[in-house]
Amino acid sequence: MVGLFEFLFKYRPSLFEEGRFAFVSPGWMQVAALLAGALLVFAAFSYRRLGAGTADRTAGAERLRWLPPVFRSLAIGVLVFCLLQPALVLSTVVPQETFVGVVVDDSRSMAMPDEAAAADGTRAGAVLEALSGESGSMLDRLAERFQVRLLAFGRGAERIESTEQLRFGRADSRIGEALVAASDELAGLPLSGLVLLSDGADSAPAELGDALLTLKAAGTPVYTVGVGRSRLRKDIEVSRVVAPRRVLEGSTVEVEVTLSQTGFGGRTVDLEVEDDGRIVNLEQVTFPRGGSAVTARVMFAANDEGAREFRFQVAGQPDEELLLNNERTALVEVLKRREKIFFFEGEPRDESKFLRRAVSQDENLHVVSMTRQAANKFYGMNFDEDTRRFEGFPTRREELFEYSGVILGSMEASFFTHDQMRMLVDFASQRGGGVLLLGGRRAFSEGGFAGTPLAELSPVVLHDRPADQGRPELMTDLRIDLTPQGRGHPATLLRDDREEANELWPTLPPLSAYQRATELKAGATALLQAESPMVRDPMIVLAHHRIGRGRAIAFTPHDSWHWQMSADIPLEDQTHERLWRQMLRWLVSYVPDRIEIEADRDRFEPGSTVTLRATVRDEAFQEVNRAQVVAAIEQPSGEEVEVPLDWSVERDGEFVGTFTAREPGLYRVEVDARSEGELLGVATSRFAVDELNEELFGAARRDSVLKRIASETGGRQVGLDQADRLVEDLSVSSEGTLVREARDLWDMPILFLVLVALLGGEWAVRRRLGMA
Amino acid sequence: MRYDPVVPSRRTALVVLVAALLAGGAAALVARGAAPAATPQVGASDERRAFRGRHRGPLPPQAMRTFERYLYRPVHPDEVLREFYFTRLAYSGHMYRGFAGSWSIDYPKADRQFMVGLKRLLDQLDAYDYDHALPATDPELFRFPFLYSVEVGYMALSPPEREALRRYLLAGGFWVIDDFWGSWEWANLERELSLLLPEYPIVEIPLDHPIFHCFYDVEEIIQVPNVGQGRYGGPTWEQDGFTPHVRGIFDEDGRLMVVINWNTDLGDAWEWAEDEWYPVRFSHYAYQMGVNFVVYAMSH
Repeated sequence: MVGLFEFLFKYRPSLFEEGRFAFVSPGWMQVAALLAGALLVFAAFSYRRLGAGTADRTAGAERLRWLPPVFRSLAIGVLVFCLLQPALVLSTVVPQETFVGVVVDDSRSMAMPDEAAAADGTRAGAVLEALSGESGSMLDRLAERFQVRLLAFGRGAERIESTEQLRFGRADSRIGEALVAASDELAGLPLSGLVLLSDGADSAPAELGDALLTLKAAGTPVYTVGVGRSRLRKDIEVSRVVAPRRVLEGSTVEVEVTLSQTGFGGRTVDLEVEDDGRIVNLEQVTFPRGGSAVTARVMFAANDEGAREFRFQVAGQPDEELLLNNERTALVEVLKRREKIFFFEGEPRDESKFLRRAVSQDENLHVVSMTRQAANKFYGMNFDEDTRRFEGFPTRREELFEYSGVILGSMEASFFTHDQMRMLVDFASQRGGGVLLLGGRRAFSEGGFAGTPLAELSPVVLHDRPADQGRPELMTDLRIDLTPQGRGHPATLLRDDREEANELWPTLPPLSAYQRATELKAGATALLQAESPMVRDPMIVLAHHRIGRGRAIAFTPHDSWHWQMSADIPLEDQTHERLWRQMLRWLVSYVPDRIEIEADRDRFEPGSTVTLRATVRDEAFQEVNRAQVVAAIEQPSGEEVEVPLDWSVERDGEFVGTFTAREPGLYRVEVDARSEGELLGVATSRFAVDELNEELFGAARRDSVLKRIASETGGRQVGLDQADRLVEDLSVSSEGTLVREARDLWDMPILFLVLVALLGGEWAVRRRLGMA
Repeated sequence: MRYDPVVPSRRTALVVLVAALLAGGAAALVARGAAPAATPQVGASDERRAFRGRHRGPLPPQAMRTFERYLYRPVHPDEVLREFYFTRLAYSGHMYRGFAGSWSIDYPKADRQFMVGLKRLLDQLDAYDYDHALPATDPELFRFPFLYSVEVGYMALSPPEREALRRYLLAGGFWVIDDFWGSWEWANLERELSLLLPEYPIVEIPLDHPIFHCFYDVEEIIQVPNVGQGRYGGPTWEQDGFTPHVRGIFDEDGRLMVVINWNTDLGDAWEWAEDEWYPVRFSHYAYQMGVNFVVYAMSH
């Protein structure tokens, strides 16, 4: 399209955008206008005379009579326009008085062999040939008009004298930082612009926007020259890994791994998960034939305490172009700590006994229970020096909020005060805790939850149940099975093998329930359901939904202990234990602590600026803004650095500080928060510093990045073989030492074509009218 | 802590021998079809058949025979399921004092009467009001994690019973043993338990254990006499069982599986609690212990 425009109008559209239109010979204007007027009068007069002499024309032909004079007039107009010598006035640079920075991507991704134009087939080869090859190199062409400064970039940009200094081996390519650095390097010089030669693979963690704003403010246009193919022929890439930052020791870690591919549609590959060189899971992933990316949910056990680097990798395929992007790592901190759960039970029953027993050997779960034995007589268990003792249900937020999870057994709503119910809802929504509602004859609708704040917690729809209805009916013989959402869920995965786990559920002894839970609330998800001859619709057995920052789970049967104590279950069977351990770990996973500290990512390149963000809350989980927060960072060498964190102002309780991580290795951050000298709490976190090779992910040429840089800075994107155009564009830049230049427009091919068309049209009409 | 085994004296051995001879004679009478001393109750034959039909697997002949004889009130299939059943173990045993089985001593009145008191004291407990006896080989036993037995000095479990009971206890069941006296009966129980749970020792339960404090605080182990000696103010002991003990068997996680009340008769104290002549301090103590056993069983 641009080529056609250039053919018709002599110059590219960009020159028209940059330039100003003018008539070069204003002295001819009056004579030309007089001549044009005389010609027009003559043309009109002659046509009128001709028209009067031909009276035998048809009505159709009569309608065309006005066309010849119009065509003739327009043709004369075009001629007059040409005679006026139209021109495009451009501000062009004074040769050799302005500078151009040529910024070359010197990173490893430039070694990709996907550039057919180069002799060696690599992007780097193509760049070298274009810059300094024998046939009219870009540098030579630029040097004809500009002072050229050559820069190589990885993370920042640095001056080089010749292309021989390019190594194409840097691990990073941070385009935004490099352009700003180049602009700074050439600051003070009359700069026409920067020429960026890159594949567009930007590994910078930050958005490009800030860098582009800086360049825009400095008035530095960037002309981008893309190298490489915009789509690899055959490649598999581990594009994204979403893993929890922290899990409890022994938990099942659920990770989402997104695999992208080109040219491998329909192929099945093995996705391996390694923990310290040991394969902990192997998942087969089949790429869809039509699409390119697929997300696999991988689960594995995190059994070893400490900061673990889990590696997710796909074995290289025989004909794959790039193998270095086939793996990614995720840093997961495996915590050995006891999550406190408060179990409030309204009556003595075997369900609560066996539930507690199932998790009693789990060192990471500390279930404190309070069971009502008789009216106002409670039996508390497992209180220790870490848990403050109380009788009944807590009345103060501090007492309840010290737990990460709450299990509510068979306890009627009327037992609670309104404030206690509200506090339990706040426990989930504000504190971010997990609430598990167990089935029982006094739970859910049967416990009068409907119409109370407790109803907010239920993921299943509750109904009013009149108090005079007596004992609720028990639904027996519930054969439980997974819903589609429950398949492979970490809470329901009762065997290591996913298929085996899926097939296990229907074989478990049937249970019973008092709850007729058949309807899910909007936004809730059911993981288990059951068929019952007593209920028409499938009964919801396990469901969950989000409540503010927290989560609420409903488990409706009241006798899951039959999966532990049944004549059909072998003694060594661990199904019941595993179910409840997983369920309670799930309940308290992702529950926030009072004091939290996070780096903005889990992995950084050496030299990166790490932003540390701490959240500080008091015992009642109210955010604290007036606190002294200091992060002590233990570096891999063992050296410790203290970084004070300041209130961010943007959010209550949020404190922010930055730190530059230079040493590669694992960093440990311990934050200490105090208010008026009193210790509020301590939290720890970890992050890793390593060469990430980010630019090898999405390794195909990223035109979107290059186009954005060019358009936002006022530059243009050109190809490697368009050195002439680049020189011309740079020459008419508004930056540098400039001089005005007028370029003729009268000889534009479009004018000639229009003239021929008008005269030809006039001739054709005259023939039609019989005037020729 | 381990208990100190009590060595039976010669006098005790003589008494036991005489008692054994008498019991053998009584058993012979029963075998000839003599009327049992206990009065048959309301259990109709069709109910028994219905009940037996609900039990899968073979029952030990002796246990079933005595079980049917004393079956008062089987759980009806339409009965509402409850959270708690005071389940009495119908076990096989040696012939006992002319009766066909020792498991049924004080049955069902002691059970029912205990339930009356238990429901009043633990008013949040959803408990079945009546007696509930099951043989060990009944797979349904696993649905009732609380088990009560008496007169285990005459218990002689068959291999299937032993296997079922072992699985029951290791899976999470809780077994309260009561009303057996003296070293001879102890020796019998010890032998049975050594066959049942050979890897777990019998130990004395200390008074600071939660089972003595989970509902009532029991500070002292009291010897509860049988109804005859209790009513008439006689000695509280029987045979050579002069000192009451509460012993137990713990699993590897420290959970009590078996509680053994030796040289004491809690069952009689429950059964005769309403008797104006039976000393209230015994029934008071027996209810406290019984309630604690249930609370412990349903929470540990």
